[in-house]
Amino acid sequence: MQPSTYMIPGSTTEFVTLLSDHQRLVYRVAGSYTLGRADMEDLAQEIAAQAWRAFPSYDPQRRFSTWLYRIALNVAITWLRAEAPRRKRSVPYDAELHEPAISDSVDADDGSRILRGFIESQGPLDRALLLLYLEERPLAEISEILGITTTNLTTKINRLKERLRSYAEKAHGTR
Amino acid sequence: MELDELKVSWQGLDRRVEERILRKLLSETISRKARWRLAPVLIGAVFNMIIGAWFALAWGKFWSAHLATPLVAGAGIVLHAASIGLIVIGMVRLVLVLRIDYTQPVLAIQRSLARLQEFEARSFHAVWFACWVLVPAALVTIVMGLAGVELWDRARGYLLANFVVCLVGGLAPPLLHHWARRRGSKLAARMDAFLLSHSIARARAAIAEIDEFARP
Repeated sequence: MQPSTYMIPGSTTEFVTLLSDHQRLVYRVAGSYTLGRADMEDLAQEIAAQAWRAFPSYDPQRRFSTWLYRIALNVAITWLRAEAPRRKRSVPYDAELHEPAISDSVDADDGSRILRGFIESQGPLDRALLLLYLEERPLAEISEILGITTTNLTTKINRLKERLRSYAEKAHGTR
Repeated sequence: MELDELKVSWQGLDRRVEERILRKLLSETISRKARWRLAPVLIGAVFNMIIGAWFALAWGKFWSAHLATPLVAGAGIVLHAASIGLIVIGMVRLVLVLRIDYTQPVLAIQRSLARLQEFEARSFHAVWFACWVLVPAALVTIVMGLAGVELWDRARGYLLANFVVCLVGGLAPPLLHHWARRRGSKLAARMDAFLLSHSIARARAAIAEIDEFARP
């Protein structure tokens, strides 16, 4: 998506338009950091709320997706660190509540199952990198979102690939 | 299986995003005017500073009026210093909170949040300890302020016993926690759960994880 040069930051209408255009981004981030549907909706709501709060300072010359990714990932990682252990302790199992946040279709293929398991096994920062890579964001943008150099990113992606290979082998081995 | 192969699976995942959810997301976001997750910390910091300032004024006035009785003045000075400590804690919290801007790069903000959490945990433990050990000093000043009696002269044994009890009360929980963690007992897990948002260990683990991720 091109930078939205025609937008006036701070306006509700503009915010609604931009968020509607990027709803998929919000739900993908929220879904990657939660286990249940209810939590995913809560987190998506929190991301949208933080974006709305920060919107007056959004610079329309810059890419909206980069700006939103930073907010979404920061909110999601903070949520994972603070809320997840608390909910794990206090929320009893409920099939409806624990419906997977990002769920594969009924006839899910191996890839989807392995992917979901692999995402859940990663730490919050690696999960952010994995998500951005899977979303096919350019390295320069990932670097801008996460705040690390592109050289470092390449190394991290290679390590992620190695870990995935090992994870997939184990997943196949236990089936 | 390669990571690039999984991109296809990723694109095919069903997010089950319904129109209803999006409408709810947008309407609630706008109507709530963006609740701020860190607002309680911010309010807590300001409250700390107000309480600290009020006590600093009160104890400052008290000890300067009792310079003739060194022990009472000393107790007042200790409480005055503790009140200033509360103001400092509030100011540091405020600076740390105001520096957090979710639109900044992920690593920088997560590091700031982890430092804030570590500071919160440390100040929680410091305030807990201070609350206990300051009881004898508070007793000395309150008795002098209300009855004009110097407690050290009238009930020295009681005051010393009180100091020992408070010292034990202040030190016992952290020592018990440390001991339980070393033994790996269930008590440690229960205490960890209770101290979830005040755990220095968790904050330090988060900082270590961020440093590790930032390292090439």
